[in-house]
Amino acid sequence: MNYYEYADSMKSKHIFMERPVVRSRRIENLRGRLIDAKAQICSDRAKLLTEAYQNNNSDPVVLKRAKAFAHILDNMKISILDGEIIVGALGTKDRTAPVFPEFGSDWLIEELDGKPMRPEDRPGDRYIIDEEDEKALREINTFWHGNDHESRCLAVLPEETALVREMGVTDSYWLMIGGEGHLVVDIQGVVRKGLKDVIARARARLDEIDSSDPDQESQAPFLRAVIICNEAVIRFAKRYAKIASDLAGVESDRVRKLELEKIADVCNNVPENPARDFHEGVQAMWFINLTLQLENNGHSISTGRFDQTLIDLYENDIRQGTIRYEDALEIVECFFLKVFQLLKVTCWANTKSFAGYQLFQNITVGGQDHNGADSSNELTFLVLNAQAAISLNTPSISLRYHNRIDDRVMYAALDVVRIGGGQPAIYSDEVYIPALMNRGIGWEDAVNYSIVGCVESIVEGKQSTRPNGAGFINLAKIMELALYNGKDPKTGRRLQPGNGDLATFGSYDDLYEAFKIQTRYYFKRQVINDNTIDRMTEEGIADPYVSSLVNDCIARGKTIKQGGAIYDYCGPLYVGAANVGNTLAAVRKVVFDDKKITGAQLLHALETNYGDEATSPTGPEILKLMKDAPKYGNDDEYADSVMVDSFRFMCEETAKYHTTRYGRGPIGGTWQPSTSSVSSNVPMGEFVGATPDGRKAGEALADTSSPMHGTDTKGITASLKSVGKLPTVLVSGGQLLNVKVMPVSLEPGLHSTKLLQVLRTFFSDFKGMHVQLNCVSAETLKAAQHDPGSYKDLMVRVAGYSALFTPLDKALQDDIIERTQHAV
Amino acid sequence: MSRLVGRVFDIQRYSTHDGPGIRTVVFFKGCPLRCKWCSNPESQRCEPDIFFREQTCLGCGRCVKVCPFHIPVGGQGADAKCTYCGNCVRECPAKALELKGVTLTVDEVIDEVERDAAFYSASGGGVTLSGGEPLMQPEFAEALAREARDMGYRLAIETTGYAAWDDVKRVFDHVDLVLYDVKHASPAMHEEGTGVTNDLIIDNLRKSVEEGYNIVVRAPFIGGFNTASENIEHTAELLGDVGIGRVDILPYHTYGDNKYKMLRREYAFNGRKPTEEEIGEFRELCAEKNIKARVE
Repeated sequence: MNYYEYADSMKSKHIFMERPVVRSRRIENLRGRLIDAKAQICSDRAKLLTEAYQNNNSDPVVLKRAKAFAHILDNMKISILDGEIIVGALGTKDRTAPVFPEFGSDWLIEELDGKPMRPEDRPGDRYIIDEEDEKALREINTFWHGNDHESRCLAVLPEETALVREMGVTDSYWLMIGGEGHLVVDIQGVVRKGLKDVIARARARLDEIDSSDPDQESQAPFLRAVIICNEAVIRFAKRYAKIASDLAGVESDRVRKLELEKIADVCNNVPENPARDFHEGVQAMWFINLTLQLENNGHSISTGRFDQTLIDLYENDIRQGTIRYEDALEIVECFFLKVFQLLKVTCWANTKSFAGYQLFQNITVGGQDHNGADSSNELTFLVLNAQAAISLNTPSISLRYHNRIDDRVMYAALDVVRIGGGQPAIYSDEVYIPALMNRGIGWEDAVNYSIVGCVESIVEGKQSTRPNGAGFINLAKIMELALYNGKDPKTGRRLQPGNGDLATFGSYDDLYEAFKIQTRYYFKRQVINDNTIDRMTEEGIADPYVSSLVNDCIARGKTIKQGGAIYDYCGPLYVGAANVGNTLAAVRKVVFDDKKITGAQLLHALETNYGDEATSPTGPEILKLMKDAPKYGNDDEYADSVMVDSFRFMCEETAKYHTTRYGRGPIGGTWQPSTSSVSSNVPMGEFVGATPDGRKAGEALADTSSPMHGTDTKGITASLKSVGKLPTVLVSGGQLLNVKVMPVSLEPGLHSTKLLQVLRTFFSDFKGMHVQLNCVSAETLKAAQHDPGSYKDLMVRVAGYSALFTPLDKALQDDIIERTQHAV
Repeated sequence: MSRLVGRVFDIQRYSTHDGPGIRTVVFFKGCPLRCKWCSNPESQRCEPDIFFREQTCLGCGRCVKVCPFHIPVGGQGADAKCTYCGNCVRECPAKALELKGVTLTVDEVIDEVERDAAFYSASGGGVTLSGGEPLMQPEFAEALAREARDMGYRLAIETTGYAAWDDVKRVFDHVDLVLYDVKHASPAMHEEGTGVTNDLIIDNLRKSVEEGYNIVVRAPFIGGFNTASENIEHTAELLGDVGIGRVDILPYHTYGDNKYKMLRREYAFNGRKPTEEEIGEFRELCAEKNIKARVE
């Protein structure tokens, strides 16, 4: 029986696989409603959590957290929206942002007091709040003030880590106020076996442990917490079943009544039991994702290889005739809209680095099976089709490319890119898999990787990383410190003396060594900072629910943070890599090779922001010299070789360090680099003075591994070749490259064929790791800046994720417009 | 190894419009024709040209200081005294000036062409000689084509066909694909639009087909110049008669307007885009003669 009438279709001007893109009336209504909805802060979760903490204060942390989680799921206000097929949300407002006071509470109160501004007055990512919610949040702050995760982290962090943050070298404040994230739990297990299997395993382990052994005895609270959490999730689903069934009772529309009855049936069955059909599979996936959001303040909790997890259920439904392609499409579209609904409010300083109302929910499709055969299937197309129709900034669709992938998948992907928003991003198995294997992950698991966050890879249900991934590290700032003998020209602080400054370096080698000295010092500070926060998370947050869904936490009786996961890797996000390479190349060329100016002259020019007209040559003349020097991104060996070497050095430096889980169970337990800068290249640029690559003080840094915007002038092939020279196999944390394309180059036929040929060459011959194609003309973006009202659903790719353009802060909007426009 | 030199005004990588696949296009400087609608006016003269971007200019006057003749701001390349020494271009801090037209050896061009080799093989692309008119520098064109072909690249040429047959032949012998312009069927109208009659061009086209070169005709479609029914009929007849199998229609555009401004020249031509009907009419006539016609 087909519940989902596909009448009343809404055609758009877009084309997907040679057909016009269609939205059903239901999807059109829901989508319109959610785009118009204002992001709203809700106190519900915070209040319930506080009650539970107060009532269970003497419990071990892991049990207290489980009871709080259960209390929230049992009592938070919930509802079902008109027309929804997939149900469940973070609250009853259309776009509810819950609050996580246990992580950090004071920042919100400060912002409510107008410091630096109230959430509704922000220049981007605004949130409204009811008087009642505000009052409640202010009240509970008395409990959390000085008693939250942030306070506990600050109490143990070495003093210098705060200084390092103040100087703008690292930014990982958000690690303190964010919980477990950046992972894909064992969704396949939940879909196939249900949470009852998780509970059964926890009970079995609990029965098994010998409490006379202190090591085993200490596992008991965690295992009990697992049972509490999973039972609560099952009850939570049944609360939705009850609402659906109540609504069905009073529903006058025959078709909707049947739908609501089906929803009730679905929610009574999953996620407790194995999913019986595709609808149940998607709903189970959603319940898991949603409840993980409620446990803690993490982001980037993703769904893994969607097309692999659900293909059996889908094919079975099609075979039995219980579902049509269009029905499944609508279910997936509803799922996408649920993902779009998700919000978490964080402080303004962090929001700037993660702009665009983003929780980084990735859906991975394509790739290979464990025999290395192309594993794209009907659901791969269906997911791409759903994105073509929904066309919103989240979820992020990640397509795994490999050399044998069906061209039809690639063309379908380019169709979606043409519609706008940089979706899907394309990841190459040809580099990701060797990169993971290089870190110690076996083929069987490496080939099954999926994408989380922006571009980070993860083995589904088997790997842990860090709350919210990792901290940013400002490479351009480190470079700047190297030029000033370790002294920060802004604060005057010198934490690590160097081997001289730009005025005294006798050779290029001195300069490079100076950079290495500062890099070693600051990388180590970041490791100390992030690992300390991890330890505090292990002790103070514990995260029993997410741990229960990552193997082998239950068998080991350990949370993720105690070393329960099979694999464990995390590491920094590099920001401004191209500024380092370009600075090294420019100084080498202008000062040491061509001797056009001395290091002292350049240093003075930097100190005066290239503005001193009294010198000879003048500041502006020196700026021109530096701008004209070779730049990474032009297939120029001079610049690229310097860039590549400094990049390799940094990758190796990062991989020297261990996580807090090293030697405690997981394979790995090491740090690994990623070049995902998210949107932090803009705020981090504010900390960095003028740099020798011809960048003036305060300007945005280069994003990701992309060439510095405006400096790659030789076209896309040259740019891709430069990027392809980087030793990407070391970047197991994920590489990111932004490429802008004109809409015309994605037109079906000749143009998209040629673009695809370029991509295939980039991936196969030049070991390209990732590409996100942003297909919006600069004119359109400028028009949207001037007339935001007419461009409410205009999407752009920021860095590893998409965002609706108009709610972004203007500085970031400008940065996106400035990034080189490759007229492909 | 070839130190033979030629005049080139641009080498464009990742070109997707000048032959199959992904190509690097070498733009030869100098053209015997003066098409009124020319969208690359910097390609016409054999001497260099200087682009001046007025909006980018800071008015700082550095260009004047370094100029041996102190040509005032905005006069670079346009002033009769200019020798195209390029001092001003190198000096300009805003990159408002750009020198179009340099002398390169075959080896230097090949170095640039080699860079995208990996992209050619996957896409069936290669190198395209364009202009200007490559046949105006036949030795250079031949040497370049030979060298590139020896390296395994596929060669294409875009040409007006206006050259002595011997020169045509010596170059065409080394290319895999000839994109051959046919702009008007009437000698008089051709002269009116381009400054030369089409006799030599048509003659060379016939000979080229007889020689068995792989020819695709490119027909610029310029509303009001060559889109009248009479010319469309004659052109289709001519192509059928010569034995052409494929024609690419290039509808008139005005993307070159700004280049005239940058050269500080008037763009006097008053053309219009061809209508769907005009293009349709031509395609039908071509189809009747078994000529594949498509719009580029």
